[in-house]
Amino acid sequence: MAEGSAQSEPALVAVAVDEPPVFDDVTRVGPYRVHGHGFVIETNVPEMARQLDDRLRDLRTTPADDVDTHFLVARRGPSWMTHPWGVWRNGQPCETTLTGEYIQPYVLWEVTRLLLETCRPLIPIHAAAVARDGQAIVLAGVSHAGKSTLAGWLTAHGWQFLTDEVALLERRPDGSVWVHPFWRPIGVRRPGPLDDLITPPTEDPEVLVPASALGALGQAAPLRAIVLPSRDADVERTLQPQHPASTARELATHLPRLGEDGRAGFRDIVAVVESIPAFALGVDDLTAAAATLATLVEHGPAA
Amino acid sequence: MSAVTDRPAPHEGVDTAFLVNQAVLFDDRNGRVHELNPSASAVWLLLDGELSLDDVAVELHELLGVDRDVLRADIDLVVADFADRGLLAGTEPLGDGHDDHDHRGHGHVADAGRTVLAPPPDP
Repeated sequence: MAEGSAQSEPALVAVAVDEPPVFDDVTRVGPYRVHGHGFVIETNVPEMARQLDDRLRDLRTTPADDVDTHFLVARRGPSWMTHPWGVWRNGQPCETTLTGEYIQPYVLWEVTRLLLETCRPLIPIHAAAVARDGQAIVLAGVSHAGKSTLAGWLTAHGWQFLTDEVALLERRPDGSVWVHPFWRPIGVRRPGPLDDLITPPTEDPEVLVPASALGALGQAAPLRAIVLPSRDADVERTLQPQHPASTARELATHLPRLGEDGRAGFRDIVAVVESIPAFALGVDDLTAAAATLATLVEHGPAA
Repeated sequence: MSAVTDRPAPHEGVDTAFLVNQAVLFDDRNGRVHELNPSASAVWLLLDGELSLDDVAVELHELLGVDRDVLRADIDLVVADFADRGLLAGTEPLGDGHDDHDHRGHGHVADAGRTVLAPPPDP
């Protein structure tokens, strides 16, 4: 904008996009904890601090815990900027041109990345997981298959929430496989079957809902089965056994670190599918799916 | 398409796991996972760099009782598919632009190396 414009805000703002901005006043929220690593978030926008703290409340930990990661979530520049937000981690830029709509999902992604970087020797797979009667079920599969919706529904109906995005698997010496929790908020797409469970009601197309707002949070539990949900009406509403080779491919497709872990990561997945049964399940009727999964946990796959 | 020798062998960058009656392959050059159907799996397990494709046909004929000529034609197709996927010694791994759809029915390929968890799309 030309010099002398009536615009009240500066048209050209010298923004060094990679350098973390310094503010006189920031709001700090946290600490939070993911797999043994504490982190805090600082931001120059108090309302953003409040919202992030609400979304991440299931990851809160005690102030006495060690904090090794500091996120700065900063809004810079004049109000008309379309991408005013940036995120830095321990002073290093993560992403510096983000929209207001995108900033919270992005922060959540950075939290997830922190987990993925630090979770070894656990095996992270892209899946939701829930537990009941001390046994866990992993809900794996492609995006939009209904994993998060089913996990949220089950949590609201008596199951314990473990994760909606990254299930952390542990192979134990006795041959069992355990699932460890990652209580990040559930990404709920709207409109959908969870609409009535979201408070306060919202018109946003996608909202982040702390699982504790829907039900109970669960602790690590032995894995009973892998379920590949599908909202496709053609997929049977009864459990359909899956070949372990197909399950291995499916899980490997969604193994966040396979490219880095190479053969060791591949062998981890093969070992899991060799010992854990897997099923496809149509979940267009969530009540019926919940009943089927409860039977699976209580009586095993043959019931 | 990559050249196929008469005595093909798996590429050293490819790891094989056998689950029940199917092979699942991991190509550590590009992070891709290939699920082979039972027939392709049987061929894959016989490719050791020593057996010729005729020898493979003989082995499978003795195992399955299927006509040797029919088997040989199918083996050629399967091995050509392996070569296309870059799974054999002397071949190049699948590139970024490869169509992952399985045109020949020998199995499926999963792009594990690049379907990592990523930030959600910016609206």
